Amino acid sequence: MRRPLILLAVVIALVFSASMVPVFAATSLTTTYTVITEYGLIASFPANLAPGEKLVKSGDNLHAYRVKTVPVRDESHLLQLMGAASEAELTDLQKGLLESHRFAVSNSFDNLKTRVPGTSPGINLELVDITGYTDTSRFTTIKEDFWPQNSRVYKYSDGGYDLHSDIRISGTDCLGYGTETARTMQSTFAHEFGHALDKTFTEADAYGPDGAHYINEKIETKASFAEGFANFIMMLFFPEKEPEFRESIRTIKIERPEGGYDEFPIADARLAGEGYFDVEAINTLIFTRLAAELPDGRRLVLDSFQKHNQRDNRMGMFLKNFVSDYPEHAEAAARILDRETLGKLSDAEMRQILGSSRGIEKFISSRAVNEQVSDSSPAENTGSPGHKPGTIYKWKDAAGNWQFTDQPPPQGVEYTTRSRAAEPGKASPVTIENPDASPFIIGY
Amino acid sequence: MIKQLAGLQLLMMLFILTSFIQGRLHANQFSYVFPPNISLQIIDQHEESGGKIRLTALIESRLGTLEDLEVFFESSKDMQILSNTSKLKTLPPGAPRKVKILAVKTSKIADELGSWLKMGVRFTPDYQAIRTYIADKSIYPDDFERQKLVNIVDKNVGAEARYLEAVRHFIKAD
Repeated sequence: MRRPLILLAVVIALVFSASMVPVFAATSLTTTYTVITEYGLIASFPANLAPGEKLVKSGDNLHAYRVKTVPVRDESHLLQLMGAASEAELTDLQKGLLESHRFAVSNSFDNLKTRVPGTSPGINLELVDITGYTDTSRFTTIKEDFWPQNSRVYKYSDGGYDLHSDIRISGTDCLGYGTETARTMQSTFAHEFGHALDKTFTEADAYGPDGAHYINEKIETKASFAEGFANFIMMLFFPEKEPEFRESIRTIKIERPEGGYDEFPIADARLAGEGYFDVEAINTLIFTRLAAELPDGRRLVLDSFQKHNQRDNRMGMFLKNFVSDYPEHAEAAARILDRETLGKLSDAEMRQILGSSRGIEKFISSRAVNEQVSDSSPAENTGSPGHKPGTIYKWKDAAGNWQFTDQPPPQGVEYTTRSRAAEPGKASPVTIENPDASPFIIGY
Repeated sequence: MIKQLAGLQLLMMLFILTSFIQGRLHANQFSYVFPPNISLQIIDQHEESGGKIRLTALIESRLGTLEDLEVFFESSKDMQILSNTSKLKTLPPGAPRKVKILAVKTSKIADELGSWLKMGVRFTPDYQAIRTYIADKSIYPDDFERQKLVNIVDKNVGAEARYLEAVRHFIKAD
């Protein structure tokens, strides 16, 4: 009976050494090219395929794709594999594959590659060429069959187990995007690379019955953290995507058990406390704002993430660790957390998430002062038709400056609105920042 | 006793396998895509003596009227396509066009993917038809995600973007 027990101890030790110890080394990156050479009924294919070939079953369970995979030596080799004499002859998706390869091997990722967990981790970029199979009216499951993904497997190498990522990029997430195809595929690669940095082990059925997720959907806590972090890595390269994330959380989607979604304004979305972290866009914006607003913020975020990276990652834990690692930035972190959760966290919840420290208390005190200022000069309801207490109006004044007010602008001025976290019978704190000076726009 | 130990060891091995495989893939981040603009198919292949291969391709609009189509060909090194590049002013819906392709085998060897022929089509899509299609809320019910498609169409219209699709036919070795 002793041998199995010893074996069990060894296994447990290996599991922990592979998943818990923060060891980091340069990451090897390889690229493979996979092309669909045939499509047909599963039964029509021979049992034995040539080396490098395999069958990928279609989601309809009737058909399959015969694919061939070869390692890519360099860019000219990739062009040759895609069957083009020059870039001008590449399809839109093939251009995206080429640009994804260029992006992946560029020095833009050098620093991030050193942060992939493991002693000798590997990432394989699998470029899947679906040329000839983009007609979704004929190949009805092509999107799902080759949807981009990062599949991670522990592999034995150099005397230990390392997490290897196989990142599949195919362009099925941007069919028909024209000139936007290549950049979208690059951003997908950056997102999937973000998953390669992350040890989070997401919850079972974390994404709801349909298995898919919107950036503004309420999903499970660890999954929303993992997706938020991957989005943050993507946004390091594609900062223009931030408004999209900010705009998305005007409403929150909640999937019904029987399928389909209900949408709520964020103030009515049954989110409370750390429940706000169940929305990946909110996680994304917290990471992104910490990186953008703190001095050397990008490094601080990545360092803290790397230091505490483990399978039970979640935003509450990350923020507590971050504030503990950089107490000098506690107040700024609290301000960002407060803003990105729309001021809805109570003082107790702020302390619970961030811990109690001088910086946190300073922020909480300043927030209380703001509330008193708001309470002492409550907005006068002009009785404008349709005006709801708690609504913020965004509009431009005659001088062209953005204004954020809790009363409608003068008649005839165009405006947009957002509901804020108003407590019944009490004016909410309103922090108006100068949107022209700020690197992003708040308040819409 | 021996059987019990063997069973336990088998369980251990299963435990090792399941522990080291991170089975949970990250789920699909939702995004809408556009409907197909064009359908390209190789519908027929005949091999003749003298290493000749005749193919028939079908080009069909899937959405609106496509304009200024340029059809071109490429092949692996062991094949040479004798058909010329051709142009087509418009391709309306419901009016598929057949393209006859003639290729001959050369003395060179095939590349690592085998023998193949490719037909590419560069075209201007029917942007108005795309706009009309993506405005359909029964197909694209999510306003926010639909707006992203609208923005992409606007960019492509502004850039007067030409699209390029292709079909690649691999000649079976088995």
